Amino acid sequence: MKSPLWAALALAALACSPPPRPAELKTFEALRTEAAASRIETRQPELFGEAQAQYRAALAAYEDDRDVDASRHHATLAALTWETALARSQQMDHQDALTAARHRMAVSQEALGEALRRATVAQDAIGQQERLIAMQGRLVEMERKARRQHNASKAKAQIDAAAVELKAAEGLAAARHAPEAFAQAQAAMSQAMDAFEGGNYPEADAFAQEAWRAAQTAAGVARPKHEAEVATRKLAARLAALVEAGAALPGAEAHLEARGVVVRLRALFGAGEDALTPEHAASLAGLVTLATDNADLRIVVEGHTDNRGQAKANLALSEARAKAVAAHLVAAGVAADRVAALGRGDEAPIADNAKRDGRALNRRVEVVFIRPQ
Amino acid sequence: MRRLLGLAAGLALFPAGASAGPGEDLAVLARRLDDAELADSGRVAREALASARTAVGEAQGHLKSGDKIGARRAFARGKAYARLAEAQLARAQAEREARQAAAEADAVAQKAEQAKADALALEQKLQALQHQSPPPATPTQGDAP
Repeated sequence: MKSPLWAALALAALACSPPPRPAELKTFEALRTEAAASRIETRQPELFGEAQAQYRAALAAYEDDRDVDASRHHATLAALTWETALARSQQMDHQDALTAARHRMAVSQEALGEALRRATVAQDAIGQQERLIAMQGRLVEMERKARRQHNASKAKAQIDAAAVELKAAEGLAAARHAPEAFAQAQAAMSQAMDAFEGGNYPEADAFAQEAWRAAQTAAGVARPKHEAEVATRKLAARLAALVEAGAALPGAEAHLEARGVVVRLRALFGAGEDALTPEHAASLAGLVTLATDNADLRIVVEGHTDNRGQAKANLALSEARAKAVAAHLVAAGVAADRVAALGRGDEAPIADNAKRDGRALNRRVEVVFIRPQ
Repeated sequence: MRRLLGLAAGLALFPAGASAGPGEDLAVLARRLDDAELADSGRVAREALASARTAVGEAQGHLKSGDKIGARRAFARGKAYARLAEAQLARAQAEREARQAAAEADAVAQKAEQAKADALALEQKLQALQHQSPPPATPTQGDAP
């Protein structure tokens, strides 16, 4: 009897003792951390409320009704709802991250666009700048060539001018009259030519200028000397021509003396005579021509006699003979102020007065064309 | 048996769409999971889906045995698992999209940084060109070679 009683009491006690707490409740409570709860309550309030309600139902089923199955069922649903809320919350986090990433991408794309725009602008500007620099380079090269050509032309012109001046100096016999300056001009000219051939136009120009100046100096020094020389040569030639022409006159001879050209008309007068006779007309006409052709020369007509008779008378006779010829010239158109008459008497015989022929030769007139000073 | 099946249908566990029953709803969800190609990140969702299927199977077992409460509870778990699976799927998809967007944003940001550096280099080159000393002045005293 005792055993069945005790068994019944034990069963009754067992029936009255609380059943073990469902593990699902603990699972849910473990899930429901404070941080997660706060987050889910904010982001998923409906699911949060639902999970809480299921949890409360689970607690009530266990604590009030001692219905473990119901408690496990609600606790499981509470946990699943909680996990669902957590997943959705995380989904929202990812969506926020997605939004942030899209925003970041938009910002980056804008920055990328701006950078590409800047790069395009800079690239265009670089292209322009490079083209500009290239163009400037070409311009500089063209200008350099043009300047070089200009310098070459200038140097050539200067060399030509110096050559002309040097030739002029040479024509003035500057080598003799101004040897130092002429040599300097030639040396500078040579250097100018060398520099020009070497392509050093500025130097060529400078040397050519120096040559031009030196040649001018040489010419300046040489010119008066040369002109004097030329004048002397011309006069000599002219006087020589005059001698030749005078010698060609009938019965005349001519020669050159320091004082001038002497045209001697021999045997022009008879003894004691001072009158011109027609037989000497040709000689006198030729004499007039010579006087007319040399209009710038003064003329001195000298009369001479032989040595027969008194010297005083001979002097007068010679003067009369000179005057006769002078008068003939003036009468023929020769300016009177060019002509002078002078009696020399018998003091300058040209032949032997002891002989008849000699005395005839001494009765003469000498027309002197005075050499200009 | 017919009454129990009617009860299960009346529970309307998966009312979404025009599905004929929870099995089809779960099949649709499975296809969505497969189509999403989530790989590892979809593991949790797939586990939840499997649990949902199990729960629905249990519910059907309860219905057959006439355990209405057991069936209701099993269907309720199936619904909760299915909802969890859907939430996990959405979370995984969102995570993937966010990760992809972040990667793309990183790539664009990197590209933008590179473009900025390139632009700066070009601007510096331009500045150097602009400050480049001008061409030599025209010689005034000849140009001896």
